[in-house]
Amino acid sequence: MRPSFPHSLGAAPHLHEGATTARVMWTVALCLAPSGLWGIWQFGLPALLVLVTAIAAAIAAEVLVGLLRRRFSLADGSAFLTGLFVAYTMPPSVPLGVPAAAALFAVLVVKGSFGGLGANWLNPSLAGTAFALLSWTAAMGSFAAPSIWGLPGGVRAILPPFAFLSAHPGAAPAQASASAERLLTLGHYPVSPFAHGLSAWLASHVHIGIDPHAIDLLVGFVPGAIGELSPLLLLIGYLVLLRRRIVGAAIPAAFVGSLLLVSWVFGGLAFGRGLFHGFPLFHLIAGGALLGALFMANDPVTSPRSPVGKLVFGAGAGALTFLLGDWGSYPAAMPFAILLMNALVPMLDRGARRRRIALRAREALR
Amino acid sequence: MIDREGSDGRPLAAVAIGLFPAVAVTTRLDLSLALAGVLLVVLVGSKVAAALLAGRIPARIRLPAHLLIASVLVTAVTGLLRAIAPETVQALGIYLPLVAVSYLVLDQMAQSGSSVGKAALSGLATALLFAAALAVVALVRQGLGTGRITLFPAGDAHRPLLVPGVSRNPLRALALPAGAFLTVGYLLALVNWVRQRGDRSRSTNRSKGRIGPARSPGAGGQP
Repeated sequence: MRPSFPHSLGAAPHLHEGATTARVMWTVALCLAPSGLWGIWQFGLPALLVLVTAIAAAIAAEVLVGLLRRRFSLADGSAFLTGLFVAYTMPPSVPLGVPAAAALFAVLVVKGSFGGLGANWLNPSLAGTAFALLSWTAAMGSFAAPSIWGLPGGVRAILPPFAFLSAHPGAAPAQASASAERLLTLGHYPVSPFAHGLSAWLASHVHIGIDPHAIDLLVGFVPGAIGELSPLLLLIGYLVLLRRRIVGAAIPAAFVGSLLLVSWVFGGLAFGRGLFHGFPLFHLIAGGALLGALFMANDPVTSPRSPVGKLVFGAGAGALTFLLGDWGSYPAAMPFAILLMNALVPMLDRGARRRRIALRAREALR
Repeated sequence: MIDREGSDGRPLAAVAIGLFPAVAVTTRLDLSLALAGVLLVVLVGSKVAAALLAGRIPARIRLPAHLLIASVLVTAVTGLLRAIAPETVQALGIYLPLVAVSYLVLDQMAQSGSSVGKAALSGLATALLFAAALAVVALVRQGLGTGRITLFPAGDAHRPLLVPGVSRNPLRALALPAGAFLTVGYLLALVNWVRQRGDRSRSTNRSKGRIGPARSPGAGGQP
């Protein structure tokens, strides 16, 4: 069809919204930044060093890969993001060799050896974290106290809430109404002054009783990995990305839904409370599950393309996160859960593609 | 001899396939060397036997007959090894008798032909290749994965060698099965790379005995 106006039409796409790979990567990094800054605020210089080390190692590895391939791709920000993600899953007090090794492994082995950006079959940063979890389990399992608690400087070896609950099943495990936060209170787990004050204010002025531990968990005044502390900041960052249509909602929804369901049904077993007495919200916000659900599982390269595939992927990852967290022997469960689902992605996509081709063939034959 | 083995490709592929059960023993260097030694004796012995009996065995029972020969040899060598180093035999566990049914041994026996000398030499070459591969993997896995290298079985008075810099904080993932597949994978990649460069400098269109899925020379994958 010849256009009727003088200039030629050219090939599609005709409208470009300016979303290059680099732009997307830097937007994601920006949305993740608050969470990391929170971690640096709570843990100070060690956390900053871990962040810098991981990012530097990732960028160095990317340069090395570029030298080997004689083609550089630094500016697309993916190496920076990989290093960032690796650092976010690290405890703040970890020796710097660990995030460095994890980031190197992520970029050199998982990304570089398989073909670079877009060709990796596993999430590189999570694979790096898994490598660190397997190699230096003890270092990955020791956490520091957040600065807001005001404990004497440099308190190490404090358990994050989930590990604390597992270590102290609680004074009254049979109490059906006992929430996870209640159990933390019974175990004399530290609370931040802010949460204390807010909880008291809410109870007296608005007559809503919210356990101060719940406030701590939601806001992020708890021990944990650098980027996994504040569900609030993670959620805000995710919503910004969702608004700009950079990420989808299917996988996080399936992940969260599945995690809530499975942890509600089976979560109480580990604490001797029977079925249907689990702590669903606690499992979601205490630990790395939310970071995984909102950001890691959403990675388009390593997640399915088909809608059904996405739901299955998210659901499987959520259920596995719970399973490996409650009954696994490693300090973190989310990396392994998502990596396992990554490995199944080709299988999840296979049915969808064949069906679509069959539909098209049927149309053509009509 | 090594070059002729390499250009044919099949012994190398057989070595590669034979490597995978061996990932279990490459957590210790002394175990790897012991297994390689056993394989050497078994391989050369069975190839010589197969060469001697070539043409005398009906084709229908060739495979069971070869299997029998290999099993007898493995049993004999295991007995000998148990007298010398019982801890090694115990540590190798199931992987010692598995040598008898390994694809490597049986395939090599099938290719023995009738010349005893050639069979013995090719068996020796393949076994040495296997030993080298096992040693490299074991060095990496044990050296980096546990920080120490054991050259002698644990029962001896010799202490393991400590790898400087790694012995205090080893990369334990390498000592796990995941590390085994990583190491073997990179070793195969290295071998493929070297062969590709060699083949490119030799401008022939001969089909390459490359390890891995069949691929046309032009489709080298994205850079």
